[in-house]
Amino acid sequence: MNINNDILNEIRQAAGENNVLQNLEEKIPYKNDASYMPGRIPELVIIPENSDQISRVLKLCTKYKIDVTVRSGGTSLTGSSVTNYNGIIINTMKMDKILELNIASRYVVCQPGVRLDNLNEYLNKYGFFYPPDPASSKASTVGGTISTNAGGLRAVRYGATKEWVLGTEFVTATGEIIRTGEYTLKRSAGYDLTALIIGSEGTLGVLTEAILKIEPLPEKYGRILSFYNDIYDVGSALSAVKNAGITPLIAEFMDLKTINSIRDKLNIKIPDYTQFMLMVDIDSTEASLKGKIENVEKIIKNYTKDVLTIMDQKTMDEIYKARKGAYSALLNQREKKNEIVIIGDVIVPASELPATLKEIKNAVDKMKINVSLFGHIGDGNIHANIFAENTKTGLEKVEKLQMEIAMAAIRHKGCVSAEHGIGTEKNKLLYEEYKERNSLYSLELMKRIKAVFDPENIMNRGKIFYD
Amino acid sequence: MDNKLLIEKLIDAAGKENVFTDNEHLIIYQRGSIDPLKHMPLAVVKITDEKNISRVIKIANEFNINIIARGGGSSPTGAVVPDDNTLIMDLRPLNKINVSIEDGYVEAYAGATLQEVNEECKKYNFFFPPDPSSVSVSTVGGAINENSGGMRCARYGVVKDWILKLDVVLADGSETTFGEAIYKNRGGFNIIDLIAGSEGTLCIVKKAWLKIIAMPKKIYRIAGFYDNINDAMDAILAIRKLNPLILEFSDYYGIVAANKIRGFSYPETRGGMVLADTDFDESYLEDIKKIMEKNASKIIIPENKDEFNNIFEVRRIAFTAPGILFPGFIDGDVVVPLSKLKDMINFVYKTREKYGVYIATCGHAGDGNLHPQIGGNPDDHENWRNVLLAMDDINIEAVRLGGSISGEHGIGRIKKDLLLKQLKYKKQDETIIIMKNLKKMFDPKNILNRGNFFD
Ligand SMILES: Cc1cc2nc3c(=O)[nH]c(=O)nc-3n(C[C@H](O)[C@H](O)[C@H](O)COP(=O)(O)OP(=O)(O)OC[C@H]3O[C@@H](n4cnc5c(N)ncnc54)[C@H](O)[C@@H]3O)c2cc1C
Ligand SMILES: Cc1cc2nc3c(=O)[nH]c(=O)nc-3n(C[C@H](O)[C@H](O)[C@H](O)COP(=O)(O)OP(=O)(O)OC[C@H]3O[C@@H](n4cnc5c(N)ncnc54)[C@H](O)[C@@H]3O)c2cc1C
Repeated sequence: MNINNDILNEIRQAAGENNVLQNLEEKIPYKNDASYMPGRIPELVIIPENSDQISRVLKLCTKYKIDVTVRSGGTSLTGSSVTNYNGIIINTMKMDKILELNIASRYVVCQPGVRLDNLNEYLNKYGFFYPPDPASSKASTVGGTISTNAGGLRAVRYGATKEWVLGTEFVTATGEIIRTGEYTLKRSAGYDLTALIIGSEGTLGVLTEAILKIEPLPEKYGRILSFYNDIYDVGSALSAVKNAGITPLIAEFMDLKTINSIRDKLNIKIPDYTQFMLMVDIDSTEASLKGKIENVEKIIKNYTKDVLTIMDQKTMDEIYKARKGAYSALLNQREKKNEIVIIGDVIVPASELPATLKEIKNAVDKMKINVSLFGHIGDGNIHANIFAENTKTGLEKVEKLQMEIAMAAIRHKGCVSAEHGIGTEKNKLLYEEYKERNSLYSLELMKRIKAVFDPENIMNRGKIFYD
Repeated sequence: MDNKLLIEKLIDAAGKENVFTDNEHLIIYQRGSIDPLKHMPLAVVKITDEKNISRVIKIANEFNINIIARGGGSSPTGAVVPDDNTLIMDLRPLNKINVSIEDGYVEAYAGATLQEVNEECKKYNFFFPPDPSSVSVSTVGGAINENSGGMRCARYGVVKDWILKLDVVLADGSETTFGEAIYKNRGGFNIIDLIAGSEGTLCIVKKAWLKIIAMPKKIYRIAGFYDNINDAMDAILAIRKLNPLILEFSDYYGIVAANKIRGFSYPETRGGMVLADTDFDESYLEDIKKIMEKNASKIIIPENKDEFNNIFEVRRIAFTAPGILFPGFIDGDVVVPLSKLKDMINFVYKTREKYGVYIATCGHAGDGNLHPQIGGNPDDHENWRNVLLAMDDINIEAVRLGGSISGEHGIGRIKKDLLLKQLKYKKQDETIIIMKNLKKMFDPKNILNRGNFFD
């Protein structure tokens, strides 16, 4: 529905006069997120300070059927934090406080606008950390990462965001402020609404507070880098480590193009034949770290002759930072000015990894598209970064390749999205995935569940579900 | 209603040998494990073929009958207790298991017990970490639907953290799948975690893909016996920081009961026993020992396999002791933030005195989860009234301390009123409406475990 002057006044009152942006120049930054999916300039942007304001605004939006998209860090790679309609954006970045830290009970309570790096900087002072760690952690937030169930570098050990959220305060699309979950480490009291909120990509309501589980920092860890010519060996080396009962803290791989983009920051000697590098962190008690590292080195050496172990914290930090910056660094490798880099995000079971990678490579070669690969290989997650011209034909090519990659993943018992979510980028692919598996009924049920929270379908309409 | 026609159709669908209507067979299905509730079902259908789940549900729809899925039937909260018009679907026979080591999962049908799952995994030196003390009866379907916890929770969390994919049968008999057998997956809403802990009210779980991990190389075990309960709680908080594999507690009454029931002679210290396992290396055992040495009056590090197992039995028996020592027994399952453990246990002790009832408390203290188990005599009205009042007080105190009336056993039929009280106290009343609406979306005719955890 169009926002006429009367409604506008009601919204201004509900949100607080100073929390509403109406001027075009202020609204333009909200047209895009980090993806290539086109968004629209919203009618209004609201930057609320508390959940009461959000509740009042949402009540009005439900009443007048106004489309709403929530946004925090805006680093979404799937178009899920932009609006495609004539609607409003609620930006939760003003709600950026850490409200409570309880070390003995192992939780921290945060508002949605807290950025993950800031949260961890704060927790590190107490010897603790919050494990979910997407490469975008400098900009991405508690609200956004919960809503996308973000994974990241440490997911191979600690799992995705959903394993770290104990409870929430949440405003439903109809404006009800609800609390879900507890401050306790476990609980079973009715349906787990917290679990439903996590990963819902802003389609159910607005997250206004989160109780997060925290962990003591690992006592000690070291990093093992190894170099390969054949992608097959990368997968095999990692499998061998895992089959020996060792779950690394992180397990990342990158191809030569990615390595080249961050070569100057890595500051290590990379053998000439290298096409792929594997990076594995092993943690342990002080007493047994050395033995454990030697053990892993020995396993990896069955697959490559070049293994480099780094124990110095400063060097490790630099490499970690370089890996996290890989996507941005790739942007500098673009050959043409109007090129964009699109991050793919598929996942397959470990045993299917080598074959899937081969198929992806074939598809890429066939279509003659410039692609670089890196990923959280420890959990079978491959990010294919596709270089494409930002033109109609360019994007069509990308779409075609994305579909080929997705179908390869599906054929190999994998999924079209591992951690970046669905948004509008992958809603059609998601549909294909469920169709392929004969479980379209599952999607139908999800739509019904959305209606429980959002009867008028105002929250992030068009995201996740393909109409 | 025409029961005869119903039974005929069931026999047609599931085979004569799998449909039971005689009292002799029905009687074991009238109750769960500990709860005093019981009621005879209309009939029991054993599911021997996965296709029969859907067939039976369709018949139940036709006759508008309540279906209770049942695995091991070990629910202590009345989650498997029939009402007037109930068909029990016994999934225990559906227990095939398949392990995939390379992809790190076990594929198990709902009726397989966790013990069977682990026996299969053990062949490859792997295991499924969630470990309720009832592993020998607790089934994959039951453990998922109760989101069970157990001994290794302190390190490995609850069942929910280990589910990758579910094949389910919905209330109208249609079948579908949620999730995928891979370690990360974004496929729309996280329905798996909604089904986990739904106590049989949303759908029937047919088959699950569960994450497994390599078995620890060596486990070190240590127990500290305390004179003062507050010292024991302090030790738990301190040991928690060392990320132990298990971190358990049994109070004085639990130790006494175990000694009596099993003929052990463990120290009967007033402050109870703290039990910890670590699988890192010996230095961790040393660190835990140092913490215990501060206040424990005795420390035991088992020297052989028997001692290793026996000391674990002390903790296990504390849980069921009231049931062995008394004619009646109700199960407590409170959970509080770790920083409130001490307050909780002291409150339990006060409550014992206030009502003059027998309470043995044990629990997965490393998670803040305590089981104050109360024994009494249901035929002695005065005594039983006190038992119930004491349990009520304890539950309400847990909520007041920022905790919950259930850590891992669920709500079932026993704790329905308490759940409402808890939600009210926490100003979460609104969520019950959402839960009811969710239930309607899955089960519009309300035929799946009707009346379980809310009306
Ligand atoms: C360089 C780069 C690297 C990345 N690396 C990773 C990675 O390693 N792993 C990974 O998983 N992802 C990664 N991402 C993707 C992205 O960072 C994540 O999806 C992140 O979780 C988004 O957080 P955000 O705060 O930016 O959310 P936004 O982009 O603002 O929003 C994301 C979604 O959450 C919703 N949302 C935001 N705030 C709220 C709220 N308060 N209430 C309800 N809904 C809300 C939005 O509506 C939207 O649907 C990367 C992105 C970039 C640009
Ligand atoms: C001595 C003892 C010790 C225990 N220790 C622990 C412990 O340490 N930790 C813990 O968490 N619990 C414990 N429990 C509780 C109980 O054993 C667990 O909840 C167990 O996992 C239940 O499994 P079950 O197969 O017996 O389920 P049941 O009792 O058969 O069913 C439980 C619920 O699940 C539903 N259900 C069962 N199968 C299915 C299916 N396939 N599809 C849909 N719904 C289904 C039922 O309808 C019911 O609502 C203990 C119980 C006892 C008696």
